[in-house]
Amino acid sequence: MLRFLNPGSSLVGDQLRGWFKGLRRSAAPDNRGAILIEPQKIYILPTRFGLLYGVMLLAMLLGSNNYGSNPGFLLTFLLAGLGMAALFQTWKNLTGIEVTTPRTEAVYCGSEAVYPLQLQNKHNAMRAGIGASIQSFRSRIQEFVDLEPKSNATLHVSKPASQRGYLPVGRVLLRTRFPLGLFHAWVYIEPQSECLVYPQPSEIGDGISFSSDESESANIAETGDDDFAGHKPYQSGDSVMHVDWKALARGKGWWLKNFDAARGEEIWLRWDATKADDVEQKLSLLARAVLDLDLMDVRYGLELPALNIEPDTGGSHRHRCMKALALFDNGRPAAATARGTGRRDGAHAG
Amino acid sequence: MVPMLVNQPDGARLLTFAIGLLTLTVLPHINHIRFEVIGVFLVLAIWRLISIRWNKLPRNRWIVYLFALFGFSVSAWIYGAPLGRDPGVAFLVVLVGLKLVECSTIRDLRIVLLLGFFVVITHFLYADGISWIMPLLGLVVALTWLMTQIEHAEPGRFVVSDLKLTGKMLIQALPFVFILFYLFPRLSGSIFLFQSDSDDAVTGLSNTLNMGTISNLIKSEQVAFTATFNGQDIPPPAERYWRGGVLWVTDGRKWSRGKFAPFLKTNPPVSDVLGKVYRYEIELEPTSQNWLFSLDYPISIPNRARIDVDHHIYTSIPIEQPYRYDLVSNVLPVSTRLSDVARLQSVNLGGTVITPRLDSLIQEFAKDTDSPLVSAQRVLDYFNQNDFVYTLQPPLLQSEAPVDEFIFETRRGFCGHYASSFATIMRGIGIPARIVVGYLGGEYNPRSDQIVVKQSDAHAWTEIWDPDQGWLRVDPTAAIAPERIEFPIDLDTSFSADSVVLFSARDFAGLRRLAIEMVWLKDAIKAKWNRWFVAFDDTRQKQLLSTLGLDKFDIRLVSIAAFVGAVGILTCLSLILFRRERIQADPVDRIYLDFRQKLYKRGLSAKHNEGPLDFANRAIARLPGLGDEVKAITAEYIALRYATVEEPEKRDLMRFGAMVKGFQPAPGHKTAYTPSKADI
Repeated sequence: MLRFLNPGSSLVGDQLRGWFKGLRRSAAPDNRGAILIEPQKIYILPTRFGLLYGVMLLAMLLGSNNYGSNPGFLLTFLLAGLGMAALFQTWKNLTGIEVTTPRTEAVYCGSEAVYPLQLQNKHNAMRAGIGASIQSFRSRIQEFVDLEPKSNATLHVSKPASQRGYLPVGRVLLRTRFPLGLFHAWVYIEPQSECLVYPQPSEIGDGISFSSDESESANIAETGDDDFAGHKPYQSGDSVMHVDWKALARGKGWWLKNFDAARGEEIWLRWDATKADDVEQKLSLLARAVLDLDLMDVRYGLELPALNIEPDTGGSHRHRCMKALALFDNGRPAAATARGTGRRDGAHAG
Repeated sequence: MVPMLVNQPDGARLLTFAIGLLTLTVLPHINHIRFEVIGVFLVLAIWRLISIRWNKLPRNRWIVYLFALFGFSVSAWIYGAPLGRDPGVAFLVVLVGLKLVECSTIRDLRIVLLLGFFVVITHFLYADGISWIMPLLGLVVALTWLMTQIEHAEPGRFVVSDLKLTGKMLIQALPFVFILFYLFPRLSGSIFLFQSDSDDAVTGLSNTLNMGTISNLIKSEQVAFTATFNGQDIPPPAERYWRGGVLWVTDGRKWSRGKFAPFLKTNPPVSDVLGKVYRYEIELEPTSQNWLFSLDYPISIPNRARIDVDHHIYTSIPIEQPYRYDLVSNVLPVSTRLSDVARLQSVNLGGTVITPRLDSLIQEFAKDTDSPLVSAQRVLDYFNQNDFVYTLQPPLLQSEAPVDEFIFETRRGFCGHYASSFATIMRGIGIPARIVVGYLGGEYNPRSDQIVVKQSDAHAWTEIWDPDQGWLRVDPTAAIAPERIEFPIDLDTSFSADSVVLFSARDFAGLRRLAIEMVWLKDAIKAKWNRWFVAFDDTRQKQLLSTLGLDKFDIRLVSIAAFVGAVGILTCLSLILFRRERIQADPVDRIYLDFRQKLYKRGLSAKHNEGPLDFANRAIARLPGLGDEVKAITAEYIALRYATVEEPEKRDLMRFGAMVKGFQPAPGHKTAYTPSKADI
């Protein structure tokens, strides 16, 4: 339960128990999905600059002693005291911050998955110079924020999205050197943030071809070359809006056609009809098709071994399709996508 | 990659500010090191400022090398190797300038700030550093503030509120500073012995007596030293002869210890107690010399000092910091044997020109007597009965024979003139004579129970050798201006002399009294400051420990304990601050807690990981009659606590408070709410 609902226990006892218990030292979210940074979860060590500062103090101490200078001693001890105070302030700078995880944006495989972390400062003092990075202490801090009193700010951490599906953020490190840079305090948190990674769409015109479904587009398949009267070959640089998808789906290659001609028709993207060497390539090809059809505002449906998505248009439809592709598990329906979609028999060997 | 400072406006601002601060820290060194070095620093700093401003000047490595070559050759040309204090400081100043030129990243800037702290402390290696302590501490605060600015998300935004944080950290540091300052083990000697190399402008007595030098000093109201008798009797004004140096060598104009000093080294002289004994301690302001002052005649000297056969006490290194020492003195002269070498030197006139009329006067004084005392008395009478005048503005003595010129022509002078004339005459007769320089008098301050000796109390007198009684003090100035000895310059006389217009009438007696009290108070505060800060040392630390009853323990043990204690205090202080902030941060939670406590009395305690809604559901299941109220309060709590980040409005808080206050479940157990383990 929240720490503040704990007025009777002694503070020092509290801290001690926390320290002993805190050996696992990674802050997990509470039932609201928020992570409260607790004092006993914070690690603190001097920075390289802090060590240098210590060496300087030592030199000052020797000098003061050598010249019997009391103001010298005073300054040395004052700077030492400031260092001690900075230790506490650095520690305090992280304490009591609450981290929540806003929704992540889906990304394509091969790019960076970005996780926003919302930091909330409920205290009256500024919490400054707080940075976050994924997992390891060595990894560079990607972004720093200052948290004004009683306000919040958002930090982003990112990691490479090298595999489609849900990519959890994993262990995240929050870190600060404020106020003096002599110490760095850090805390590991494990936010329950996941990023959906879409399959990487294939390159346009990479030679992988669709195989069309006869019943749906037989008439087009059987027409002669004269149907292509208004067509010309696709060249790199042409707008994908004008690609003749049906022709493409029938394996006739990349052709441009009149944009209006595609309107009002329905296209089924079928797993079985997609010709590619392996599952990932098929997914990537389908992803490309989904994106392009969405751009063209064509009604399209997706048929995968385990589910059907009825033809539709629009952003949420696109997302549904991309999510289905992202979570495609070679025949078994992904738990998250099975809801509301029809199940199809006949598992397919990719 | 290290974040770059240049080319972004905030970074440039940060750097400009840092250059300004560093310049301020370096500038007071103009009193300590050669101005050429400060000049080099300024050139480098200005170069950096220009290169920030226009961003066009070349900033490559070769420029830095070139500047380094230039800066270090200037410092080396003036000082040689950077060993010792002044060359070291000069080296540091050049280094800081170079670092400024090179500074282009956040990391560089941090180093620059560290160097800034280092420059601050070097001021305290000089005698006048202490008078700069307040501005220098101000600079330390500014440097610390600048350190905090670097650590912000956007360095250089200049958050003024961080000054408050800096102040807070300083306050947190204070107990630490205090404990370490007094309990950190002080070593009595230097760890490395640097040859001190100062030719600072000397504020104290000169170690030679030139006809005319002491008059400069006499006008200064600066404190030379204070003497504390720790509740014992203090010597009467006429006995307050504070011995400094003894001058044996003369060339007719100048008196010094000169080449004779090595012959005076000896084991401590006999220390027979011959009269009243005074035990006291002296806090000496820095003199940049190695003389120590003592009440005539010292019979026990401080540990680290040495004493010559003529009771001249000195240390091995010049006094650059306020220096505290204990002494025992005996007011009657301590007889010592006069060695043959010393006897020869003490009648040696060196290059003194004895004119015929001076020679005949000397013969006059020596006529028909063998007794040094009779001759001395004749000289004093001569001074007294002729028109000799005591003045602080004597005419210059420019002839080849200054003593002759003084005695026969100008006849106007102060202690130095009379002492050197008297000593010259004595030596002319063949009576061993030497000059003692030091201070005479000093004012007793009842507020601090100390005798305060000022530079204006500087004095010179003579000692002559009597075969029966040894060295005897003769103060020829007394023959001219006896009141100068009987009633040394004190506040009353100085007030009437300096401020006749203000304080002449009797009506102002009360006011004058007040003014005197103020001065006493000021001196007393200064004395406490000196005692507990400026001149605090290992001896004083031992006293402090014995006062605290800690002297039975090893000082190292005490200081370790003190250190641990200081850290403990700091920890507790921080935790208390923490706690307060946490409670202040959640007024809503406090009210909600009351609600829970009320339910606890009905046997409902919060469970681990149970949110407010779950808790409410359980409460409603247990106490269905209170369902509506529990629901309402929980809803209100969630609304106030989670719906918004903003501080809840006072109105809402009060409403929520009233709701909880009005919530009255029929009491079950009377026990107070204690948190279960699950709460933690």
